[in-house]
Amino acid sequence: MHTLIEFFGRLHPLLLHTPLGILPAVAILELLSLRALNEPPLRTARLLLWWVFALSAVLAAATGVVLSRESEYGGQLLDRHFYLGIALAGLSVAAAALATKSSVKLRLGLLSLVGIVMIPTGHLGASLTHGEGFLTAPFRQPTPPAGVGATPLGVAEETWFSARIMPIFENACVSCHNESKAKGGLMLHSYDAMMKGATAGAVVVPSDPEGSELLHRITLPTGDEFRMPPDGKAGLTKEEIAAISDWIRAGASGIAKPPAGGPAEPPRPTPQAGSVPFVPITLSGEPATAIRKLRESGCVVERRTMNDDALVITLASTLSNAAAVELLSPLGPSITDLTWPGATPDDSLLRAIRSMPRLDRLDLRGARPHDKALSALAGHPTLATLNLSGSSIGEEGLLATLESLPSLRMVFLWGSGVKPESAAALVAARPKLVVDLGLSLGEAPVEQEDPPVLKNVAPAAK
Amino acid sequence: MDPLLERGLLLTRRRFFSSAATTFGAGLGTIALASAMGSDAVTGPATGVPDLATVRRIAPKAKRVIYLHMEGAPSQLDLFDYKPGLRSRFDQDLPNSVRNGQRITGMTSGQSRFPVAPSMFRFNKYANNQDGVWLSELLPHTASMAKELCFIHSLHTEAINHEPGITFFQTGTQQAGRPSFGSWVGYGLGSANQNLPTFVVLITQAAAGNVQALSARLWGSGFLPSQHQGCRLRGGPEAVLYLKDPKGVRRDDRREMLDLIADLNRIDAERTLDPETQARISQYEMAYRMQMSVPELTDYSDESPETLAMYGPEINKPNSFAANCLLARRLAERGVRFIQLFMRGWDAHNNLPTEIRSQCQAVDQPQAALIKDLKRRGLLDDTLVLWAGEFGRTVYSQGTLTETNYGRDHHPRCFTVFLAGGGIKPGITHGKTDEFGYNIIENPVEVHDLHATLLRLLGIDHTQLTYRHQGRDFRLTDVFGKVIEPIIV
Repeated sequence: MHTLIEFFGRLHPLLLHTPLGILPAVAILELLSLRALNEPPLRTARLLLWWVFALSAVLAAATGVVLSRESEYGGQLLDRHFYLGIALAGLSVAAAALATKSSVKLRLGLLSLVGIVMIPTGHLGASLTHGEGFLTAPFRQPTPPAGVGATPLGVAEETWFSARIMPIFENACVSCHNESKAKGGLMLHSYDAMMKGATAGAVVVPSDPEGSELLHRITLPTGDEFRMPPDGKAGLTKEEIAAISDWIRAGASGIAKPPAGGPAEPPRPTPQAGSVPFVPITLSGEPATAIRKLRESGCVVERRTMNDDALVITLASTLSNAAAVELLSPLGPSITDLTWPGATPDDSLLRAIRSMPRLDRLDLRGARPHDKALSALAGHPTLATLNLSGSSIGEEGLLATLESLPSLRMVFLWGSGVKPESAAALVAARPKLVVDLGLSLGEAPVEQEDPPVLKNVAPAAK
Repeated sequence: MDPLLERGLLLTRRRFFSSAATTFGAGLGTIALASAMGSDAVTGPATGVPDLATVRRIAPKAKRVIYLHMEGAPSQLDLFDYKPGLRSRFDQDLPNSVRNGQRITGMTSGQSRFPVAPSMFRFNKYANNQDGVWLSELLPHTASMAKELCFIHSLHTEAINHEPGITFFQTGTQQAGRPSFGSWVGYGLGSANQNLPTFVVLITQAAAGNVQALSARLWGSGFLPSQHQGCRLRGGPEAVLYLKDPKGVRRDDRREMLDLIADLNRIDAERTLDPETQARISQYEMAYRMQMSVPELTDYSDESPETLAMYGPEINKPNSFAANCLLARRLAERGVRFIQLFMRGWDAHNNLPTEIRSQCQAVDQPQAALIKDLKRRGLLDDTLVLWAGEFGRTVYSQGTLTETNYGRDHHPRCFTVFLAGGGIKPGITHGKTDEFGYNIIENPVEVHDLHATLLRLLGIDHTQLTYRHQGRDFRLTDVFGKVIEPIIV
């Protein structure tokens, strides 16, 4: 029985064309009746065709409903097609019933209404089969190079995924596995969506290509009913399959950089002469989530320049240490400038800061850490500017830490417990270091004039 | 034709071109716009949070600007441009070879003679990072910070009257209607504080002397999206008028009301595609957040008495230059990108000595305190301070000249401004004027050059910060502007 029902459903693509064909015939007969060609045989044929049309529309809708339950389609497109189809069937029956009685003008009205509903229904159905944008594809501009605009944050830096994997998916998979279509519940239009997997579960198991359903499906022999892309569509090339397999084996990361060698990188837009190229940065997966959460908590995340991926971050004073550690760690390698005024940074946060390999500027003005907390920063290789002004910190532990920072050029210590003589000792040990205690503000003149005397004594100039 | 339909067609055409530009050029303007509109998928539209995209091409030395505008044009000859040689030329006629027929204003063009008026004020020499700088006794506090300051003695401007002069400084052109400097910066860099505007304006009334009109268009956004216009804060208990909820309105009622208005506005925005509606939505949200952030901003109870005293005796007077300087520091601490203070009343056509004394008294201690306060907090490192009037004043006296009284007319040919912090070389002077303080003899600097330099320090190439309007790309510096390399660290 179940097989029969499934068979019935699969007649949908055939049956849906019946009402589509009959509608113009009905239209011709109705237009003839306008011209007073309304002999009884014509009239009978017209009524008959109205009812055949209505019946076929109901049949098409019924098979469609069954097919939608059976097939692996899903998503917004399907929903819209589904309800429009049912509406169209209902409308057709109502129109046929009215057509026996009403005037020719009303019938023509009904006919147009049916036609108007039929166009989007048909278009959505076709989009399901042929892919969205099938109809308008010849008019569209070529899409920008892969990796650009592929991730939510826009123009993204090359990652292994965006450079080598996403283009393959875009070429072969995304037309059926996207937000609006999602066959089998699987979406492959972004890294995050892919990692969510299909209705039946995950399709990529990091580091385990053999255990990844995605790789299994694309490597099945032609003709296998589970092979992807399905029959009638070009399969993936050996190189593409190898690229996906390698990437999964390496951990299926959304942020890893592409390995050296391998296929050439996709072309980038050529910058105009003299201008600096816009370097897109990676923002998928964990870093993107961290940035979103930081912003939601009132923190500010900016790029330092468009030529690199350096981040400038100001944390909100309301953020907790634990949250700060969690949200900063995925971004750590990119942070060059971090500000957290008036906070109470604890050891775990300062250790997280210590491990930021490119941090250049740390601003903890007004901070209230315990006296020895800063020693967690000892030996930071790149830190050049450190602002501890207005902070309660004492000099115990701090001076040794400052001396241990090889790149340190400037430190602000106004209001801290550091004494002028200790600062002087520090400068003696590190002559290039500027220690600003905020004490010497303003200087007296080195030379003072007598009150000026205004006279006309010089020879007049020409 | 139905005006709405007509507008719709225009917008469609406009949208076509802007989207075409995105596809083919990925133009910088588009990136900047995206950045400013916060239109990325992570943050969602209209949250006012900048995209990670940025127009900065150079690592910035400054994150924000505090611009102290001295409206009316202070006399460089009585404050900064030391001309001791003129004291023996008191009341001599200005030689024709110096003025050389250059235009003067209608206020003095009818004078029968142009008598040289040397400054009656004492100058003192302060050590800086060159061979020292001579500064007037009128600004002792400011002068004591000479090691932090960079004086440009050779600025010149195209305008000779206040309105076009201020407009030129504010927008890069003398004609009204272009976006202001602060708007350009906000447009280019986006916000660094979700709860405050990117561009804030504070105005102090004159201590003495004439005042010129200051209209809101001077901090307007011109053709840039309107959320980039400057927001004027007032002194006193209500920094922003009508910001507080009326009595009996609870904050969640307000929230509900704003949500409903936003829904209606969104419908309208979809119907008309008018970006101004989008700006309106974001401004409502900004105002809602400012209901919390502004009272905290203007509450000085967390300032130490020592800090308050540093800004001088007028610190508790609302809108005084002292109060506004402290507010400027607090805005800088909170990440506001562009903070502009106006001090009115420098237009001393007559009675200059009396007027300039009062004016200097009002600004000297506060502005020096601002620089000191920024410096000790480590903020001067990434905050750029600019002190400038719209032009200078003449060496010849307007009206009666005596040893103790004189006036000075507008002088666009040369004047002095100073800068500090944010990547400016501290303790230097740049440019020289002739012995009469009338013409520039070394390193002339245009207003456009100043704009280009400030943008550079913010990380922006001034030739790349553009906005397409009425069929062409506009920039703050138009087709001019050279970065003044010698004053940059």
